[in-house]
Amino acid sequence: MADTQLDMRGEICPYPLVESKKAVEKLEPGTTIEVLIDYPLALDNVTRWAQSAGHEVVETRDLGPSEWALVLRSKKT
Amino acid sequence: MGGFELISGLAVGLAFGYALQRGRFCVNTGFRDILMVKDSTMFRAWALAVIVQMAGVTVLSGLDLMPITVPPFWWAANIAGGLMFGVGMVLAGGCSSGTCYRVGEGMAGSLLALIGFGLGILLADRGALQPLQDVLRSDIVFVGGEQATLANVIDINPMWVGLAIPLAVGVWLWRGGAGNRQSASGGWAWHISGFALGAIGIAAWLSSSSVGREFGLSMTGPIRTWFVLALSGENYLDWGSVMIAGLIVGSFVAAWAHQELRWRVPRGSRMLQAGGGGIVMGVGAQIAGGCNIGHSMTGMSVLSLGSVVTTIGILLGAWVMAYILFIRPMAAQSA
Amino acid sequence: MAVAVVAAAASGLWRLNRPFPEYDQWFAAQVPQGAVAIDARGSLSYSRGHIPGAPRLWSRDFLSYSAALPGVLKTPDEISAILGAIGLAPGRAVVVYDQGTGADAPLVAMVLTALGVSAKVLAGGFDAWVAAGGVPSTGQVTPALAVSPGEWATDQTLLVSAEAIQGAQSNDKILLADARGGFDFAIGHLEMAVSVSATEMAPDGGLPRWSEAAWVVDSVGVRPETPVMVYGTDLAQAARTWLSLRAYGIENVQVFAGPFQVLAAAGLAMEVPVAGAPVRASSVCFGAPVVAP
Repeated sequence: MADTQLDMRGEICPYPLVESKKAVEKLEPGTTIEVLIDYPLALDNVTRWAQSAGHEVVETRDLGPSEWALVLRSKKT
Repeated sequence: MGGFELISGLAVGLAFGYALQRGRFCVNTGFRDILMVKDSTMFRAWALAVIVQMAGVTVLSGLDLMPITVPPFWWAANIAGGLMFGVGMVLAGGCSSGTCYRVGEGMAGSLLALIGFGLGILLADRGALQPLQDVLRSDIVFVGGEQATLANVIDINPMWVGLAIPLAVGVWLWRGGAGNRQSASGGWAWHISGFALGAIGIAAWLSSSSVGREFGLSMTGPIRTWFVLALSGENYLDWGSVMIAGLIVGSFVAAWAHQELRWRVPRGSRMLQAGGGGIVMGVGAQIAGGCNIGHSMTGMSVLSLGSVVTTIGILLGAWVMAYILFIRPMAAQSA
Repeated sequence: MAVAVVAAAASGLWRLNRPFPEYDQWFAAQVPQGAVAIDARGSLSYSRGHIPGAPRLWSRDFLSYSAALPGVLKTPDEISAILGAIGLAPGRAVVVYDQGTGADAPLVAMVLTALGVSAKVLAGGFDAWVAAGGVPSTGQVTPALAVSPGEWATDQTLLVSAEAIQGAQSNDKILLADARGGFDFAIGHLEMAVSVSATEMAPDGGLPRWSEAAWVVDSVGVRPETPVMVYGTDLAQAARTWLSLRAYGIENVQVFAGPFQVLAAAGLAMEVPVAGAPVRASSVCFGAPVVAP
């Protein structure tokens, strides 16, 4: 179970990415956040950003058709 | 409307919509993410699509197998329209092709953006903003009596330019490496969608020209024909109109086949933002004479200077709007 | 999906580059043995060099230029006399040529066709003939025989009057085609007329271009049996549109035997489009063709 949850389902581009970035950067280092996403491009974008910024992609859980829970762990700076 | 016009328009449109959806192709994302998250993956897909189409169209028209039309260099309209379009697409959350394929996937925000797009087009084409369009379009720069292209402005045979640019950009893309080839959501990698869209663009030129519409893929004009039909009954439907209908269906089919079809509704303020952004996009696209597809893919493939200038305008407009809306607030928050 | 795209591309490529259905009936790549070549150009061009044995029959010689009716076709008797004077007998196969720009040959070919002569246009004109190795001569050509005017069979239906054009305006089964395009069409044309621009249909010296003709047929909805009536700024322009339509396979094409201004002066209903409205609307965003300075 992730420490916090962010529901980005239904959001238009690029809010899933923008809000996820904000939320992850506010986390205590090493804690996790679960982002709920229902748009494929957003899943790609957020995953790519997280990896390039050094945060860990813990898991990508399928919640149903076009619905995912992306769990990220904030990097230890 | 003849049989070939209908069938080829549908075939190309279906493929276009399908490829857009699988590739999650969006020029808005491509341009914006370079600045916002330093990610050039989508930008590469767009660049690849442009150079594949450019090479193909250059060869076909150079061998005189296909007529081409070069979008005019209405420099004021290109700049102003491009900037407006860039601003609008960031607000709307998608460029014009992105908005259309997202309608096929079930995004309510994009549906509102599409409606705004059509209304914006009409506003500039025959509504209150038509005088603005006429003023901005009043000065066209020709080169030797022809529409200005990257080739004739430096007085070189277009075959050279039309093949040199794909070569140079191709090398740059190749050396950039595989980049982010994986798609977490199971979509197409950027090089696949780039090639596919480029090839579809070539097929569009060929089938559209053979029914008298001497152009390739475009969004603004075809969308305008539907809105004009709906709001004033005048029927100007042609190959492009059929292609756009096919696009939305193709994207729907792609989404449905991969379980990505879902009715997604954002909160109210975002809906308004999308609709408003759509209107701004529509005005900009109509004034400039094209959008991220008409200018930034099809027009670039025939080396139109007007298309290059419009594309730069779109890029700058998108960056300014992304900075105001997202980048500066994010930087302020992290500080 | 990929198959559909490749199929669309391949069939588009094929369509763009196949010859017109009736091309061979109206155009000839060279002057065959036994056929008469007719030079449709003016006297200066003719005197500089022409195909050996080709008499001169300037297209404008068929038109009378009175103050009241400039550029109207002469009467059949007058035309027969002209043809008799150059020694053209009925029954000879004819190949008409001009410089290669389509300015003259289509009109001569059309008038000859109206007189029952099988006339083709030399593809590419005099310039192409020279480029293919032809050696021009500069001598005068004397007619081989004198023909009396009464020997010509005339097709009374090819060339029509202003009344017929007016009738076409109220008959939605007949396509009224304006051979002008772009700006000329935009500033005023006959009500119910559609622009089937001679220049766009045949930008390369009278040789029709597939994509333009395809627009007419596919988008305007003309079928091979659709009756069409053509008028233009002058008869030469109307003849170019006539030729392109015939080469495409449209069987029933009639031409108004005079210039557009005669129709305008005769009081036929005119349409002056609203400024800014698309001349030939399409989904190509930048609209009607831009006229270069």
